[in-house]
Amino acid sequence: MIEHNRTSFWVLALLPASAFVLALFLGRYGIHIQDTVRVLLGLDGPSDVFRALILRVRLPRVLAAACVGANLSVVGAAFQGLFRNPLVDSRILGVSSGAAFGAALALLFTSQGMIIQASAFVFAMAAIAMVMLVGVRFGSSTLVLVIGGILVGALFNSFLGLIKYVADPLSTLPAITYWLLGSLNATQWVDLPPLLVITGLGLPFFMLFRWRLNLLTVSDTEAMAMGIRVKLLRTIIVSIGTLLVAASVALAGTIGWIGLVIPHVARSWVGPDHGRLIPASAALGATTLILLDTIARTVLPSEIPLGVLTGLIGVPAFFVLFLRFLRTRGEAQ
Amino acid sequence: MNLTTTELAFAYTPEREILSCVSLSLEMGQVMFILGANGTGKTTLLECMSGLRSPLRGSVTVDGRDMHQLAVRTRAQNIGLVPQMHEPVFEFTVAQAVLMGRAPHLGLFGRPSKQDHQVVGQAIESVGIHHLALRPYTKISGGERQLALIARGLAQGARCLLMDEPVAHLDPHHQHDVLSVVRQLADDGFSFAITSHLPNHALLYGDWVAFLTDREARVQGVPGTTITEQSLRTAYSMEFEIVEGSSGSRAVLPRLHRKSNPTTW
Amino acid sequence: MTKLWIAVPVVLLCAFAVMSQTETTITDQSGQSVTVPLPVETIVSVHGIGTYYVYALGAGDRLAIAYYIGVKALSKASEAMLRWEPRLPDLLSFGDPSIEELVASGAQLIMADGSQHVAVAEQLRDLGIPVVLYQAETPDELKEAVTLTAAFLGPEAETQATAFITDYDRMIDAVSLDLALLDEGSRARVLFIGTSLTKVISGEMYQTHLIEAAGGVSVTRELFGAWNEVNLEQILLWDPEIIVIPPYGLIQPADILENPDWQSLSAVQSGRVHRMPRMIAPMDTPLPESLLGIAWMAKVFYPELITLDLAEEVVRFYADYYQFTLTAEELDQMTHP
Repeated sequence: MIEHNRTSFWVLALLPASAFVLALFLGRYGIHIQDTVRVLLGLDGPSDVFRALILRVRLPRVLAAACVGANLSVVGAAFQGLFRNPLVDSRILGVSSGAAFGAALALLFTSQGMIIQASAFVFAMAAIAMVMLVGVRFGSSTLVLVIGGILVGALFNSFLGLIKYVADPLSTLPAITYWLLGSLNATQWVDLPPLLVITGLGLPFFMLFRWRLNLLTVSDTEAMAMGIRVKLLRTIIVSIGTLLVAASVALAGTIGWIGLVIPHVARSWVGPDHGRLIPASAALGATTLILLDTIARTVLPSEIPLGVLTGLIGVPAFFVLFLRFLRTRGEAQ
Repeated sequence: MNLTTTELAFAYTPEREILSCVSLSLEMGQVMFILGANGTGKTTLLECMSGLRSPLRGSVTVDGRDMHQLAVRTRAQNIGLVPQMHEPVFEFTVAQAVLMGRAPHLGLFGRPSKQDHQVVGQAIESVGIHHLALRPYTKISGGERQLALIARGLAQGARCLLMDEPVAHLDPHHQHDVLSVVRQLADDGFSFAITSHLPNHALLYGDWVAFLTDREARVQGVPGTTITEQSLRTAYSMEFEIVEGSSGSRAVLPRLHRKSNPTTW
Repeated sequence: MTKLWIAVPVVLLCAFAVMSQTETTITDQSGQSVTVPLPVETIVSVHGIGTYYVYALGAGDRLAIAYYIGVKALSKASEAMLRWEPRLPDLLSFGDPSIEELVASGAQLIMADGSQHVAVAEQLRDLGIPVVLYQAETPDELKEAVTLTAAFLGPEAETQATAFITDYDRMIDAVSLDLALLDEGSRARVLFIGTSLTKVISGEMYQTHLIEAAGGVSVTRELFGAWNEVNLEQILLWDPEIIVIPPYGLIQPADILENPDWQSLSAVQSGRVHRMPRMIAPMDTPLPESLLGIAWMAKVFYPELITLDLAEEVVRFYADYYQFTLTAEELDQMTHP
């Protein structure tokens, strides 16, 4: 099933690009293909409404979907290697819980998107900082980091519960619930710079480090014996990965399953070598989230929360992968 | 290449020393077996010899240079560590797994080059698993996995490989496969330090044996003369007898207390 | 001796009369039968909407503790509210009802929310305190709720309830009459948003009924459930003629009128973006003030066709049902969106 040929490469390279362009043509407001093309090429003709819709409503949103999808998938893949556990999701270190708490806290006082995003990001980073502190104190082995992540995540979840409790059940609580389900609705250009900058710095980092990631899948002892500064590398990867996840979750809310399932699909396509896995995850993640977001904003008059779609598709997808995994395991034995 | 420990001492916590005064010298082309009961610090000794752990006292030198003065990369390019068996998590191919050994030769963002792939190919050939190169690492036998790990050490460029109980989980056929490859590579100039619970292997495949008892390696030498009933008794707190095989080879058997007539019940 | 023959039957008759007046059984809006003492003198309302039924029926002085919808702290209460109910600081409460506090208040009856307080209600009933559950999302259910409330407040309240229902129907009929010649296709297409620009009402919510009573058509009537999240493309697709912002939340007409992405909407181009005014209770919710909600909306939708005098209606409503007089400023606020 693992393909090492040129075809895979081109497919994976073109997939996100095609999805991106396709998404620009789709939406509740039907726009003629010719008009869309004219807008994208900067030609005269289409009305201001069309232009505004495509350039100010669809384009930033699709771009955000691409970045978030790529980020969550790449970090999911890297963390699965780092923690030597294919069941790891990019949210393992409590980042999502911190972000959820930050957003809910902001929602108690305001409905301004920028503030909510900033608050979510700040608390996401606070969560990881706490996990790192645990690591510094008790040694940053993978076990310590995972347990630290569970504890920090649980802590922020309880605080989140507290906020939900005091929130006004008629307006604030539904807003929090909706944020937690994840959505890219009303994404504007002003929301994008933090995400774009962090993605622009973080993703290339993972691309450059992708062969090094292979070395972290063996035991710490072996890696060190091969000359790798394991603790340092792990800390750097966790930090930058968390930045990517925090920026993504801050904008899009908590979206599950992408960080877990996409790396698995990518791995069954191109194999576990991170040299291929990382780019493949990025491409598949971006494509998937673009497609899911397009469904979320087009199929029904109201928006379908992204988290609901990723769950509906992620769970059966994971189940299929799991069955296949069991079958190959059975064969090996 | 020579790897020497001089009066090596190591402790995890100040109150309890694991090693107190271990002096070993691994020569080029030599296969050294390190025998000792469980918990005597064999794994720790290997980790000290590979430079992963800093000694409390004494030194570890490579061709006369102190191990810890060397850069981590240089160390890795000279000494390979093959740990005990583990269950691999991901389905890397054998070639990909061996390729990881090129790590000390690649830069921080190291992308393996054609040359790296060539080195990997040669390493795989020299341990005789060329036919398994593209097979998933998880789908080969335990013995073949050990050979792959040896190949990885060779891919590192190591002239000296430290192996921690490499054949502990293997059946006799695979045990022989691995150790005969070790023997062969030693004849080509590589050196091996192998920890083991099987004195017979030292007798069959080793050039040198060292007993790690009481945190020291006082009893060491050529296997034929060093493995005696007495040295075995000291090491394992048990009675053994040495028997001679038909071809002149010798083997170690535990001396069990049996009824005088085992054939009649 | 004759005195005894007169006295005993009289005493027995009085006793009988007193006993037969102390209780009545009503069916609340969750379908439960509730036996309540008559008349009720001490009421607690943990239903932010139900509180206003009590006031409208002239029994505001019988409240011991009350929730007021949208007012979670004294700081959120408008000046008008404080002037209207001077006891507000003592009465105001909010949040998850505390059973013990309710018992300590000495309430003879508790008004609660049929969707939120079912469990609390059961516990209170176990303690012997009657609980009336409310759930009104349509005009008919509103009338039912008001009637139900009057049933335990006494005959004067019942008269008031009838008056209110008549008033409500009169308002709807008056609007209907004024719009009798308007054909279906010319009805105003209205978008009613919520506390964020992309949050809109569903067809099942009370506001939709108000819009229709005011002669308009809600563009979001095909949606269901509670508040729905939609995207801008869908809003552009609907292209409402009028946009109504609720009396709560932070959105002001300028947020829409000056938003570059909303410019192409008919409503924005004709400047027909209005925020509902608020005096005491929000008039888009199923409580008596929604009568004014209908009037206000009708006037906003069809300024030329509607003949009612909004100012007059406002003054009369607050005088009749809240015993409250507005200042000139407040009246202006209510009538000039």
